[in-house]
Amino acid sequence: MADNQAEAVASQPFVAPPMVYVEETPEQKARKQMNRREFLTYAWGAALGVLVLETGAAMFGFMYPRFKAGEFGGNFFVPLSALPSTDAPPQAETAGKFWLVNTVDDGPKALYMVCTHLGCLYKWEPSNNRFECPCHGSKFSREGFYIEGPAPRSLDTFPITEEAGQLVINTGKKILGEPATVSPAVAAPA
Amino acid sequence: MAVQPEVNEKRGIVRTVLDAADDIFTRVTAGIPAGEVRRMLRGEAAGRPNPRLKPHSEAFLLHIKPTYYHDSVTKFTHTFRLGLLSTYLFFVETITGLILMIWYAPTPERAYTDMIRLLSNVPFGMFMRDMHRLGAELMVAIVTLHMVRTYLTGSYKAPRQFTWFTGVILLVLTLFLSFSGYLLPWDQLAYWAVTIGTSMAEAVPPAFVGEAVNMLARGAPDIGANGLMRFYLLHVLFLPLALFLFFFVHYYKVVHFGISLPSDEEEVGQDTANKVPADRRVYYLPDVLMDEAAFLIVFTMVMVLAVAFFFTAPLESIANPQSTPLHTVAPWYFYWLQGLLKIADKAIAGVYIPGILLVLLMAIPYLDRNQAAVHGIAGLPSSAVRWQVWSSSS
Ligand code: HEM
Ligand code: FES
Repeated sequence: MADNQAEAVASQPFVAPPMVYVEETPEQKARKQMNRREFLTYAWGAALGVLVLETGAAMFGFMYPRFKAGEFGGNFFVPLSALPSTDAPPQAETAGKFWLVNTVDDGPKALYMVCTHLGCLYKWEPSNNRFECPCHGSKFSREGFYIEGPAPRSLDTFPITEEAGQLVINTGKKILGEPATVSPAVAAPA
Repeated sequence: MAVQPEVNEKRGIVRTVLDAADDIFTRVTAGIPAGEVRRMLRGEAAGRPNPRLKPHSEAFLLHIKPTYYHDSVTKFTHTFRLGLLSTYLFFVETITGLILMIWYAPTPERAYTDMIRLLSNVPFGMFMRDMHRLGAELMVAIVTLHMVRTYLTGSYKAPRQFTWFTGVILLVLTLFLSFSGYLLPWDQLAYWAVTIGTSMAEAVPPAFVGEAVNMLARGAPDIGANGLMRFYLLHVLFLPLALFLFFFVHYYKVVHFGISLPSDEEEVGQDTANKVPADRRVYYLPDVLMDEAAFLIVFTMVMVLAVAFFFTAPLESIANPQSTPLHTVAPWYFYWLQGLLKIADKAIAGVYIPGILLVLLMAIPYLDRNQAAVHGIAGLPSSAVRWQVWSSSS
């Protein structure tokens, strides 16, 4: 039944239905338009909405953590003479929350101590010459590259610059590690 | 209104004093005179008009309760009293929690030593902590079972969709309450389980939002004094307040539509609260009240015995942000999430799957197309379990 109708309609040329103009009564017209009281209430409501947003932004600012210079989040200094050699095990800098390691390819690196998976502290395993995370077993090379496990990327690092014979490590600027898939150290599939 | 006693010389002084006493009694009970209370205690029927309805309109606390129930829903096996138990456990948690707050300060310097002092040096300190912990775990279990029961009996269907919806919000709040409380003892388990839990928030896309959520929750890049204070405030103030509010939205709907009847006595879509035949009515005062009170007293006794003889809340060594222990386990009701995190990416396991599950759970009554058919499970009494295969028909 419905199909038949659809066919019948399809086979006929389209004819627009005639437009019928119905005069609106003045009351109908007036009801369609916004009157002053209605407009003012919308304006007032919109202002209230903006105020709520502003309060939200203020609360965000209020709640966001603050950082102090000299603590984690600030700069850390290591004299060039204290830089470990490229075959030495990584050195832990607990206040700055990073492992300092010297590498052949990329020079000194400051690896953020927190696992890129879910925030546990991974450990240096001297016997395996790599970092291992106790929580879900992610493994990272001495240079901070992803080897295996559920972590999504290689270890995060902090930028290092050289200034007057000192390495300056800026712990306020975290550089995210490269995705695990492009890690040069990734374990060959078993 | 209670009748003002008239000082009547003919009735004598004793009668007048007794009348005055009964008047005060009636005011305290919001409408039930002493004689009527005795009739209630003796199990006699109420007079007409029923004076036992008065407190439901006069008293704030009782106006929330319905005046009578359909006798089919007062059977234990219809609701298993799980909604009542959820409410009661929230009450137990509020009381024991307030008591624990007396000996607890949410700072890294004090939190753990406060726990130690509570356990070793405060009379009933260990008891209070164990009650609070047992109550919390039971609450998660009971609220979940309550959800399962309302699902199996098809109680989420029209007109009770919104009751279910607010129920899911209550479930989420219950889980967040447990999770926020998990950090407060400040031991290794608490610290690292919550570190992992909040790291999941970091996976919320886009990256800057996830980062901000994590920062706001922890109050720093990692959990410390700020994070502890924030979790404490969530746990003792914000989340209980939100749960309190949503409970009343939930319960208003429950009373408004009446508890659903067993499937063979009710069509889906019917609202039965106002159409209980006179001979099926079970009045709240005193029958349902006595029943609920007896049930809760026995339940409390079982909890106290469990705490006294079997249940001890664990406490590990003090939280050490410098060293992650070998085994960090989530509380049992998050095992599923912990398992997921081991096999899937944290954005998928920690954000997308729970998020989708939650939306689906909330949407069940609105997606369910099987509005009519409710099937019993063979062999089980239909009042106990009614099973419907939703969306299998139509
Ligand atoms: C803190 C959590 C909760 C509390 C305190 C609570 C409380 C209650 C209470 C006292 C009732 C009365 C009937 C009964 O005892 O079964 C009830 C009914 C109901 N609850 Fe909850 N509830 C909670 C969570 C939930 C959850 C998680 C769901 C489902 C997602 C849910 C869905 C329902 C539904 C559909 C009803 C109506 C049952 C019927 O009419 O037969 N509730 N709730
Ligand atoms: S937190 Fe390191 S593997 Fe999960």
